[in-house]
Amino acid sequence: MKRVAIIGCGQTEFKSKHKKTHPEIVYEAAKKALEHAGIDIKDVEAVVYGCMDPFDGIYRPELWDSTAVGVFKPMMKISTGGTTGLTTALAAYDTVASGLFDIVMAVCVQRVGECVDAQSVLNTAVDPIYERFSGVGAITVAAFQATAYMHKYNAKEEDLAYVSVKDHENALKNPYAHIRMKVSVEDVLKSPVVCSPLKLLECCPRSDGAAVAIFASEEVAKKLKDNPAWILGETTISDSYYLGDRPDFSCWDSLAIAGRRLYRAVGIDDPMRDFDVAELYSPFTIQEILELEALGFAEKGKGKDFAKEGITAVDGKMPTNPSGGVLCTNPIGASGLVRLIEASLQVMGEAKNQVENAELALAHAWGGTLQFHTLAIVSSKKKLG
Amino acid sequence: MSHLRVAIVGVGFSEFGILKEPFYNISFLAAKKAIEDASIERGEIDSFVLGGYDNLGVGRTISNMYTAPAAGAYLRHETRVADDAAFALALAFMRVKSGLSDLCMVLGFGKSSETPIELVELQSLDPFFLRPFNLSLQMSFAMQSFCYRKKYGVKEERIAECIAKDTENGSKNPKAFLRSKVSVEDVLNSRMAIYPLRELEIARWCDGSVALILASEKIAKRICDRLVWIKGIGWSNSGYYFEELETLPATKSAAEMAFKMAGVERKEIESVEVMDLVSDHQPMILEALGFAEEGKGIETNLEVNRSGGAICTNSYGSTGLFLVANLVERIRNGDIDSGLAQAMSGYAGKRALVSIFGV
Repeated sequence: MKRVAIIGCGQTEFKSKHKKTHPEIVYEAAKKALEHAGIDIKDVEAVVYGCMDPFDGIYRPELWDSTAVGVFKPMMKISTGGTTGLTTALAAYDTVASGLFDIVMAVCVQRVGECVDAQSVLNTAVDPIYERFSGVGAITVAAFQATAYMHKYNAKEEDLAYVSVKDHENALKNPYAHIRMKVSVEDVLKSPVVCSPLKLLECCPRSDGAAVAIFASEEVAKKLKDNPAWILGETTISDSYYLGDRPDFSCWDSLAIAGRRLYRAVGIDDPMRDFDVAELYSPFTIQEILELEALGFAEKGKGKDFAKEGITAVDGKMPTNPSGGVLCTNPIGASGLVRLIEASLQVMGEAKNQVENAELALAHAWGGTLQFHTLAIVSSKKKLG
Repeated sequence: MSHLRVAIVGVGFSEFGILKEPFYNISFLAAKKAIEDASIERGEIDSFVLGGYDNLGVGRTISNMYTAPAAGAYLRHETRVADDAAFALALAFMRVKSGLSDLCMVLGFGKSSETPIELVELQSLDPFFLRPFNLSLQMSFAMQSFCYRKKYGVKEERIAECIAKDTENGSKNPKAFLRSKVSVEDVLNSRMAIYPLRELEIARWCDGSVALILASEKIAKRICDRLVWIKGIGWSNSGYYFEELETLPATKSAAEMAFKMAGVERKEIESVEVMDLVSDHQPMILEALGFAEEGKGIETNLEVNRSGGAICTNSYGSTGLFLVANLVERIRNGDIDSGLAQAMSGYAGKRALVSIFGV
């Protein structure tokens, strides 16, 4: 298998309503990524494209957006819900690892602002007979998780609020972030309840924007970049379809399984010791807590203390989401790729909110109604250790 | 390029037609048959690459939430290519070729009977310049037919022969959706649908699922006697706006990539399966694939669409993989030693994939 690295990253500013068209947003992010990699669009041999079309009011937007990046190039479209950004990156990784191409561009774009209500779109994903009538969407399933977790581990609303405070603090340093404001625990607790127990400042915004990452084979990466982000491993996992089939919302067992599978493949013994930073897909505060526990950073029931104790702060023992995370910026189908881009920039030493001496980073995304997870590990070194 | 070879060791089809069953059941059936065909257990498959359309195309968003468990992907590596499932074959091929997977399932699904596809595809046109024309997918194909016939002076009687040939083949394929023979006269006497296309010249949409099991060389040799190798695969897209309608540049570009990878000559290909969504597509595709000069596709003697082609089975989302699976079965049965399958999607076939198989 060929070794693969990320050599260029580009993002647009993320906001509620972009005034540019779909291809214009893609072009802006692609241009930045090409400049970052020091190459021209002609050098890109293939494109992998990701989007969750239902939000954008355009069916198969890859056709329109191909005018910005991919005319007469092999172009593949990936769409897997919230994991889309990271599964698109994984497809780009597979494309280079197979040896078919040396330089491949992963492009993700989303305009959630085009849709009246993202939750009703998500609701069409669930079973029309047994689950759809309940109005289930991303916020409601996150509220199930929060309720189950708080009940089981006696977690307080304040515990969850600290995650929001930390993410918002981080987003202030990220020029691409959508929500950039300082919030206190009191602000979070006083914000209106969206779906009990989750409050407005514990829920992500609906963001428009694009992200692009450029993947290269080892031979090419070495020539083009002094500090590429090497991909050490990746995996995805798919859980059961029906929410009612999940045994316990207070933990994320499918993520734990995926994490262990990845750690075994890469050789991670102790995630807390080995990782320097993690970009976790947590559009709702409770989810960062569950992810910390599932991925082996925290013991069961202890994840709730991490933000409060500063462990997940940029200068903490295990920094999470120094970009501000999905809680502050959520262009759904691009958010997974943003996680990988931010993780890559950390190990390249070029992040806007840099974790000191970051060498090994984890990127994560979840999708569906808690059904899918995708993970990738990037490093400043070609091999672990 | 990596020298790891990729073989197909299992094939499974659901029924193809306007199906009342939910597409979970349809996908489950195809996946189960492919697993049984490969003589393996579900748990042995380490990766699943699903192929099919989303939300509007099948009536629910994130459609792989529904079909991943049907494929058997529970707690396994799984992703979805949102296009005709033939494109999923390319991703699965790369996953095995890279060494990341030993056994990988490709599952294609289509359930277009759930949605008004003309309206759905219209949403793929940009809202400013193209969508206001209210152009259906078939109208773009009719524009291609008009340009093709005009530029090369091809008579509709000759074009109608493609339909007669496809339906003759389809009548002998128990997996095909339409299995009634149609003569040239029948085509010419059928209602004018979208000028210059008559009703019998346009593929009818149906539902259906197909699954393939891909294996790395080491594993494939252990579990299968007559291996069908993926020799080459190529895909491309030729932009967005309507131009050069009498040719299929994406298919041409995809074919160049596939033939280069396979290292074979056109004359070595014994049979081809092409996604002829309308009658004129058949000669146009044969020309783009390099089997005939421009305007001469109708004159080729190559064996084309023994499955009945897309004219007989057009399951929106899995048509391309249906054609691949039919071809692979023929190679495995020893009817032929090599073949090529072509798939395309979008208005005027602007996205295309070509795959070459052999023993």
